[in-house]
Amino acid sequence: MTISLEWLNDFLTLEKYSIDDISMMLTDIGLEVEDISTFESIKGGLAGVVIGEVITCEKHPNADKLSITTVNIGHGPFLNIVCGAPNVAQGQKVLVATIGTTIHLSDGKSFEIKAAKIRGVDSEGMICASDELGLGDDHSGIIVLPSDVNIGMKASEYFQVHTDTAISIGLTPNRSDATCHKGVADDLAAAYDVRFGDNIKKSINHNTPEFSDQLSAVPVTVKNVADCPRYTGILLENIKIKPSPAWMQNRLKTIGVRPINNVVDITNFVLHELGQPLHAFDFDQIKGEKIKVQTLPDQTVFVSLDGQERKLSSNDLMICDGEDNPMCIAGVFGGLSSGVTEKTTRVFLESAHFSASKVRKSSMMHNLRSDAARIFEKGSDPNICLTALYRAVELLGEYADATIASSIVDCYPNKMEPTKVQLRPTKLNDISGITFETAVIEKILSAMSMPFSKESDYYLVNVPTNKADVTREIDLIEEIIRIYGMNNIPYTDRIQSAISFAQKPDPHTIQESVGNFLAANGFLEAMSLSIIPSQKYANQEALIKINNTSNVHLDAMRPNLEISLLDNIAFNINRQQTSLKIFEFGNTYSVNANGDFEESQKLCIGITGLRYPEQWNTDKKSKSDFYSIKGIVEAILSWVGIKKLNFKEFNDDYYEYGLEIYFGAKNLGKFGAISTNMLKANGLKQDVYAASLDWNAILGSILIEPNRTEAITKFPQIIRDIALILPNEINYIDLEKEITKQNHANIKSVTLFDIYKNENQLGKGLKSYAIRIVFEDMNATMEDKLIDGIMEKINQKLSDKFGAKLRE
Amino acid sequence: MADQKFNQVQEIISEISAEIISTLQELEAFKIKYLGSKNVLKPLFGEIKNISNERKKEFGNLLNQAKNTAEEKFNELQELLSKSSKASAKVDAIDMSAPGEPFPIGARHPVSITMNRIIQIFSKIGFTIATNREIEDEWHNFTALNTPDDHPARDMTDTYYLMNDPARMLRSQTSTVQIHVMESQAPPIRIISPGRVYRNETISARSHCQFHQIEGLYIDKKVSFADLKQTLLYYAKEMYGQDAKIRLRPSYFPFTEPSAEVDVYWGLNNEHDHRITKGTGWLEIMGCGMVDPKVLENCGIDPEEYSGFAFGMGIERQAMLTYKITDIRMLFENDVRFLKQFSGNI
Repeated sequence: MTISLEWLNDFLTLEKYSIDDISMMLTDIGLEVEDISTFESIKGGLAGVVIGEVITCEKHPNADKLSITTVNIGHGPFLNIVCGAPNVAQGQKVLVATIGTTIHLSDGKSFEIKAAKIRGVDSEGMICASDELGLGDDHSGIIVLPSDVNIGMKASEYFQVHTDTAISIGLTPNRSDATCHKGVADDLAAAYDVRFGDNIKKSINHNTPEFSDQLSAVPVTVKNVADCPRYTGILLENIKIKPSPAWMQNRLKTIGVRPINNVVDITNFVLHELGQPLHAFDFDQIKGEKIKVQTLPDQTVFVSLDGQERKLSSNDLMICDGEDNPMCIAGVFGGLSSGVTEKTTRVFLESAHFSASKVRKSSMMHNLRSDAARIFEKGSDPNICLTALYRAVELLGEYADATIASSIVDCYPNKMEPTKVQLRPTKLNDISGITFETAVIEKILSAMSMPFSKESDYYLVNVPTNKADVTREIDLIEEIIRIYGMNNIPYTDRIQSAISFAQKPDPHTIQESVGNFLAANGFLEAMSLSIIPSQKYANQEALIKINNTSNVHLDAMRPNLEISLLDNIAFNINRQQTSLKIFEFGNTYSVNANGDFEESQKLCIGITGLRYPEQWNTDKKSKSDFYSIKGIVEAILSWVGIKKLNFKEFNDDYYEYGLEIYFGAKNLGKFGAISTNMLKANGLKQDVYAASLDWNAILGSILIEPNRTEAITKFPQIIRDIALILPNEINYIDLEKEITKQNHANIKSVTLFDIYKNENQLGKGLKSYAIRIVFEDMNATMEDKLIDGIMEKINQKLSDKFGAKLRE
Repeated sequence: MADQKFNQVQEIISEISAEIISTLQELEAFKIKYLGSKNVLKPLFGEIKNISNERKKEFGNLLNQAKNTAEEKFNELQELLSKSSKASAKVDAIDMSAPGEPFPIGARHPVSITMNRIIQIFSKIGFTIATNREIEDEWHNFTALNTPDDHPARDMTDTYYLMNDPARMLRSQTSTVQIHVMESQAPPIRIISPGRVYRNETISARSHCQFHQIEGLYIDKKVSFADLKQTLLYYAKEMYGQDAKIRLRPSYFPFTEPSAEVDVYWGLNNEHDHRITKGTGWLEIMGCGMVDPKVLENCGIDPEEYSGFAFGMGIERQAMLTYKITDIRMLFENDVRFLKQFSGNI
């Protein structure tokens, strides 16, 4: 919404405040100033342009179409100006743009006049055509002024350039009272009054037009009183359609409204002055000379003022003529056939009140966001209808020669009275945090034109009907704090708190810890879109899809994080970043078997490319592999205290092979090698290893009790290594479990420290594992004999169970 | 004129102190520049004769100070650098300047870092974290938050509805968490809820269809607007420095009354400041207000007994300010050359 400063001055004495003061105050009372700009009725304000007389005018020796002139601009020496206009002649009074003047062309471009040589002749300015000054579109020749104008006069004076300040305000939906100049003025006046004791309101007396009792009113039938609580109107005749006066055009242009003709401009003017939308109908187009406010059957065709044919809904409230033809969507947009044209002489002028929700629904449905709709949907004031009608009749009489041809019709069966709201000073103080003195409360209420009566321990306040949003005590408290000034409420001197307990284990602390652990180990944290193109996933049934009208290709919620991960890896490899370690915390979304929507938090990790940076002291050939992802997954789980895991082999669409992770029977997630299909689908030519951990399962597996420490033995460790030859299909983990089983008490650790594969040497289907076993005892040094015995048992078991033979 | 000469010498003195020298070659260059036969101080010594008599001595002293600073620095460094040369001479085989064993460190995402920073600030004054689902229903996303169906406030957010079920939507704000918490827990309530939200907006350099918010809520007996202001000021000082100033602008949110936008004073030192503060020097950092009694009632809390405040802010906006990121899309593109730059930000 844009406000004209000059227009505000109709209502207020603002001279002593600078535009910055006013702007700050507006922002401080909730009318946020988003921009301040200068309006000039002629762009550039004709600065630098003066009236001159052509003293001499000769043909240019080197150019047929140019003339060389000398021009007297009233001061300084005569100017030499080369002019290209066909109509330039000696003795003319012309408009001269002097050196330094900026010319604003009608296409929005501008340039500065500089001293120049034109075809070898000096030129010190420009004699202007009307389009070059923003005075019109004519470029056929220069403007020639009447001979009696004064040489040297500024063009801005001659053309009376009008300047104003346009204040752009971001109006919030709750401010039905401030949709217009008067509303903004009233609010400003209240604030200046309360905060500075400065009464800046001007008293305004508009003449109430004289109405004759002899005339009858135009018949109006309102069928939907709930949606149209008030409908007033009057018939005017002898109207002459012409442009509205320059001052009104300037006001409208300042606030960004395009002038059309006197009748339309006056309705717009009153709307922006008083916040009451009006509608002017060409009375000769109203069949039956009657107005009906009603709904029409679904699919009824209505041609709106913009020429578009629209199908109405039976919910649209329509202004119709006596034969039920739709003329206007009530409070939203007018129709083509009943609109004011150049030929209009009789106008039926409507000033009505429509329900906010009705107007909003129609406005949204037909996508017609008119100024009127924006005002009505905030909840306008039904008690201003007549004031606005009087004001418009006054202006139409003055600027359109309108005469009154009917009495006023006013259908207002249930007059809306001011809302009575209780205000307890104790509640005001509790909510604001300061103690308001009685005098201050009363002053604020008075300044906001809210009559009140004082009861035992509260005020009964009459809230004016222009404040549709103020219906409760809390709304009134808000109004009081707003006018008093939020920034005038002091800070408390201490922070009040309440005891509240964090979840145990605290998910955020653990996420931060794991995130930092991964970052410290060379992983970069990614953050991808939760919304993906649905074609990226095979099982469409499981996808949650959305109505993404603004980014149509993103139409589904991601069912897993691997989609994002592979996307990110492909993106980076295309940018020559081929060795990557990435992780992401994020949600996955899917429809489960019962049709419910499921969200689940995951930690996804991806590794691809070289294991180490290429540097003099690294192994530059070593590539990340399955054990890279396994290592980091085990490290993360250890980091949060989850040890003793079980694994189960699996594969799916995404993973060629891999392991599911179990803590007890709880599935914590999975990791493995990304499948060939998925690599191909993402255009990837290198192996990717990934993990997806179920974050809630992990949180649920973390021990809240801290680990208890164990005593450390005083006796030395004994280390025994064995090399085994065993069938390829034997898994190491089974060997480890079997070894540990033989002596839980003394086997401190079992480590696979070498894998050797060479079938030529070892025999077909065989491999060799070297295993280190560390023994210790709390109470004594372990005798070799004892250990030999255990080792023998181990070897025997491994041989019996797995066919493992000691390698010689 | 004289002042200018004095300043020139002062500048040379600070230049000398600021020079970073780690090799003997650099030390040689230093020597030539400040102590050589054509050193930068020489012409200034020549200027002594042009200085007025009463300041001549002062100027001379200053020049000597400059010369001494250079000499001292040269001597110290010569000793240090030649010592290390000698030491390495004993073990020629080791080039200690070659890079150490690589230990590549990664980085947290700027949104995570920023979010955590904000969480830390509020945790210190007793806010605990609450989170909840992103796929929401009408009640939690709108109705309970006092945003009726036909109200213009619905224009303020463009919401993604599910095709699977048009009664469900992606939450357009983390305020939904307030409702879940208030429905399930009796006051006092003191929570912050960080999380991802969605808006049906075209993706551009300035806006995205996905972003993160953090929202705070405090419900207790006699919580006032002045309490809210103190909490906001505390946050601003923690985030922007001890001298931070804030101002409130009355605004409108359906779920708070009164409502305000919070600005922090950012300053107007350069073009960038002008642009981001629209020439006012004030930067909008969050929205806030007193929880509307209707919202409390909707969650079964008696507004006559309890009151409270809420505030909420966008994380991306803060991250972009902190790290001078000009295009929001960078945050979700995951270009590792971008992500690596956040190493060292913790």
